[in-house]
Amino acid sequence: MTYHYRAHGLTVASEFELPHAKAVGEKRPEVTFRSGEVPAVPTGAHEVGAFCHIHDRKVFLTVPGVARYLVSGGDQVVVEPEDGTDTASVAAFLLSSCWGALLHQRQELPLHASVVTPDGVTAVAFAGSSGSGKSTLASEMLRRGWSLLTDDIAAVSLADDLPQVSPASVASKLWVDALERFGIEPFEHMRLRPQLDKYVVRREGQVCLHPCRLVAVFVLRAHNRPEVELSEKLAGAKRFAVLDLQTFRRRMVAPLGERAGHFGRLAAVSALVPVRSAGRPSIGDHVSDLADAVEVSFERQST
Amino acid sequence: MSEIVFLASYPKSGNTWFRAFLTALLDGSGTTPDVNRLVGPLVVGWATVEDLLGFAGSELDADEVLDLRPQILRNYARCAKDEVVYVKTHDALAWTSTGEPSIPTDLTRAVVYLVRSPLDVCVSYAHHAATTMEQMIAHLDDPHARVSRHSERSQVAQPIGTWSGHVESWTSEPPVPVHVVRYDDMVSEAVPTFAAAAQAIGLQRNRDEIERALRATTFERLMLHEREHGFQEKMTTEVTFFRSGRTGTWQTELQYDQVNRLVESHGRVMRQLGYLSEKGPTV
Repeated sequence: MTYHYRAHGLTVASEFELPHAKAVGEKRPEVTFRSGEVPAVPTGAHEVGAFCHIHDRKVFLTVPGVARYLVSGGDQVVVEPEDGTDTASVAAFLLSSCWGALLHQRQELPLHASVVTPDGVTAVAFAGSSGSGKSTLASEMLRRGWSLLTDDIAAVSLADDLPQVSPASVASKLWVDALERFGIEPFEHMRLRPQLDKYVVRREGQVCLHPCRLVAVFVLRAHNRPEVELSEKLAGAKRFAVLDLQTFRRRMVAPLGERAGHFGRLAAVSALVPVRSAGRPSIGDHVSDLADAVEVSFERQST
Repeated sequence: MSEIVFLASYPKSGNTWFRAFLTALLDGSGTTPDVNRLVGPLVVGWATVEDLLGFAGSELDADEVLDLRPQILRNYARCAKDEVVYVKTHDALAWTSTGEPSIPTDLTRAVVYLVRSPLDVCVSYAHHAATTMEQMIAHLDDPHARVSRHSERSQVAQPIGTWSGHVESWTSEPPVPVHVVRYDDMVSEAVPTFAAAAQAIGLQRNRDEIERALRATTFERLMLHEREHGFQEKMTTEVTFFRSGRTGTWQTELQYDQVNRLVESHGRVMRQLGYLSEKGPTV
C-alpha cells in the first residue's frame, strides 16, 4: 500500500501512513519513504548527535527501540523498523527528524516552527525548541480563525525574492494538557505514539493548502517573570543569529556541505522578515495573552 | 574528549551555591560571578538534548529517555572543548534497562554529591515551589517524584524519587567514587569543606584562593546579584531564589508532627549523615 501526500511543496509517496500530512491523489513523487535495509554507519562518518551520523551527505538516524532511517539525495528515506515497533512510532520520527534532513539536502531552510496564516496570503511563524509552546499558540490562533500551514517544521524559501512557507501539516501535535485547554477529546487513535500523552489533532477546514508569504517570526521562550513580553523587532545581526538558532537540526548543516548555502539562505530571509522574541511565564496558562500580543503586533505591522 | 565532573544533589541542597563557588574558583579574580552564567548547567532542556541525540527526543517516553541518558551525556562531553566539563544534575542515580548507570562512568572524573537535612530541604523547597509544607513532605516521600517546573514541557523529566532514595542512590555503593558534601559543613566549616571538595574534583588550590572564591560568593553577595540582574533559576512563584540560606530554619517553620513524619520516613539516612541522634534531629 502506498500513500501519497503533499508537504513542504513536495509530493511524497510513502509506505507508511502519515496522519499529519495532506493526503493527495497518486502523483509522480519527488520524495519516497520506503522500508528496506539500512546499512551500518560507515567508519569515519560525522557524528551530529549520539544517534545521527552523516557520511557522503547521507544521513543515518537511529531511534533506539523504533527504527533506523537513511535519508539520501533529498528525495529518499529508507526505513528499517525494529521488530515489533508500532507504525505510529515509525511515522513520528519520519515526520520530524527525517524531514529536516531531507530539506537540508534539498538546500532549503527548515525552521523549527509552527506557521499560521490569518488570510491565506501572509504567514506568521512561531519558532522555538520542543516544548516551547509553538503548537499550542498556533492552535489558539486557529481557534481565532487563522489557518494552519505547518505544525513542526517550516521550510522557508524565496519566491520572487520574498520569503514564503509551504504547507506541510493538516494536524497539530498537542500534549494532553493542551487538548484539555482547547476542549478537544483525546481519542486513543489520535495518539502520536501508543505510550505518549501527545496527540495528533486533525484540522479539517482550518488548513491553508497553498504557500504564504512569511511576514513575521516570533521566537517563543519561557521566563520567570509574571507577564507575557513581546520584544521590539530584533536588529540585523541579532535577527540572523536568532534565526540561525531556530534552524531545525542545525548540526546537520556543515557535514552536509551546506554551510555557505545555509548562510546565504539565512541572510536572505533574515533581511526580509522581522523577528521578535515572545516570552511567557513558565507557570500558568498565558496562551491567550500571548495570542493577543501576537495579533496586536501583527496588526500594527500590517498598517 | 572531555571528562565530566557531576555536581549532584536533591533540589535545594546547595548546588547553586557550590556552582557559584566553583565558578569563582576557576575564575580566580575575586569578583562575584554572574549567577546566570555559572559553570555546570543542567543538561535537560530539549533544545540541548535533542541536539545531543540528533532526533526528536521529546517524542520519547520517560523510560526511553532514561535509557539514553548516558549517551546524551557522552555526546555532551564529546562536544565540549575544555578538558573538564561540569554538569549539574538533580536526578537520582539510576540504571538503564541494560544495566548501565545513568551517568557515563567511563567519562566521569568525579562526582560531588551535596546533601542537606531533609528538614531544611523541605522548608526551602516549599518556599521555592510555593507548595504547602504538607505537599512538600509528601513530595520528599514520593518514589515517583520528579523535579517539576509546573508541567513545563521544555525539559527532560528529572526523576528524583524520595529524599532518602536519592541520597542512597548516589552514596550507597555508587559505580564511581562520590565525594559527599554536607550543606551544614559548607556553612559552618566553609574553608576545609570547600577545599576538600575542590581537591576531590581535581582542582589544586591553596587556602588563599579558596577563601577568595568564598568571599566572592557569600550569600549576601549572591542575593544582591540576583536583585540587580535577576536569576533564571528563580521560579516564577518565588520572590527571590536566594532567600535565607541558613540551616535549622525547620525549627520555626515545621510543626512538631511534621518533623516526626519526616524523621519517620528519612531517619535512617539522616542518622547516617549525622542529621539525627538519640536526642532527635541535630541543629
